[in-house]
Amino acid sequence: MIMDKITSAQDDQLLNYLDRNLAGAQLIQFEKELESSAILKNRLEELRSIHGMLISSHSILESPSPLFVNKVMKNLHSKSYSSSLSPRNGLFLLTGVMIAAGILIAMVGAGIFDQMITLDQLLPVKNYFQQSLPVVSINGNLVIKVIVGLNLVLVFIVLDRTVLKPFFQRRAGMQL
Amino acid sequence: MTAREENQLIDSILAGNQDSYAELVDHYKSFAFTIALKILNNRPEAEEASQDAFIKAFHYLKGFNRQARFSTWLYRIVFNTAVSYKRKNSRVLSSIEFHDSANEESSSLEKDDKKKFVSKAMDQLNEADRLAIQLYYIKEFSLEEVAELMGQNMNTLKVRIHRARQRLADVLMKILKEEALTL
Repeated sequence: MIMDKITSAQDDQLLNYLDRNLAGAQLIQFEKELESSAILKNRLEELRSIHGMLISSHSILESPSPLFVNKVMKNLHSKSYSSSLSPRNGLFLLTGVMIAAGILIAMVGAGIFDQMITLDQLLPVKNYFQQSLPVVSINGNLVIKVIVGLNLVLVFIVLDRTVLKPFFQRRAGMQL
Repeated sequence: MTAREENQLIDSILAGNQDSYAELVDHYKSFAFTIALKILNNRPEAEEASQDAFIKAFHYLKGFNRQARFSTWLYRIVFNTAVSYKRKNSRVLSSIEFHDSANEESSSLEKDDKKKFVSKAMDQLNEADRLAIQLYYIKEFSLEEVAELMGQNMNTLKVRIHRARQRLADVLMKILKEEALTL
């Protein structure tokens, strides 16, 4: 086969050959191809020299300053990474959840959810079906109270993560 | 350090022995610093980012899943920390291309011609390709590790590294020809 240009696939094969990713029949076949093509051999030499240069210039590990370990150990407690919420975002979330809980508590207090509702009242299916839904009454007051309870749990979690935990960690760090 | 020794040290750290963490930091500091340096191209910044990464790793250690190697987990934290440092700095210093100028300066001072040419050719690659190549050629890093580190699919990374080396070879041959003509 006469070739005057290396194809991308051949380049890939050459790189696989350099990375020692070819084996068995594939390797034998490729070595045969290499033997018969001067262009392929030239390209292999080009890629081999790049490979060598990259190994020699990038395989060396850089050393940090001699005080590296001391600095890390000294600053180990200077920052808090345990909370995924930033204090600012946490306070926004906390305010939002508290407002929502407050509104719900006020509505429950005003007796808005005191009456029992049925599925027929809740879902406008009457407009589409003649048959009525089974009579299942939902205690709106209880549902809202559960939601308020969950909101309050969320308030405590956010308060702990954004305010209390960072505060006590900082205090513990200062005492060390 | 074997995985077993790593796990013993981690157990000791989680039990409250901070000196064991100093041992881990000492063992991995060069790898962590080298990764940060490849990304940031600036020694003081790389030092700060890698230290920050070690501090983060200490605080997240409880959540470390032992099915993976500690080193792989740590290098991922270093990589992410260095990338976020780079983003922060590029926002602040977007008008100043200090990395490239620093590179050129150091390249011109390099005694080794080969290094100078490689560095010149590397500048022609895009940032992701350059980083992939640099990490791939760090001693002991396998393709799988680099893929995990960069958060890329292994096949995608393999193709990226192949293409980058092909481009490097072409650029380098061009540079060498130009150099030969100027002689």
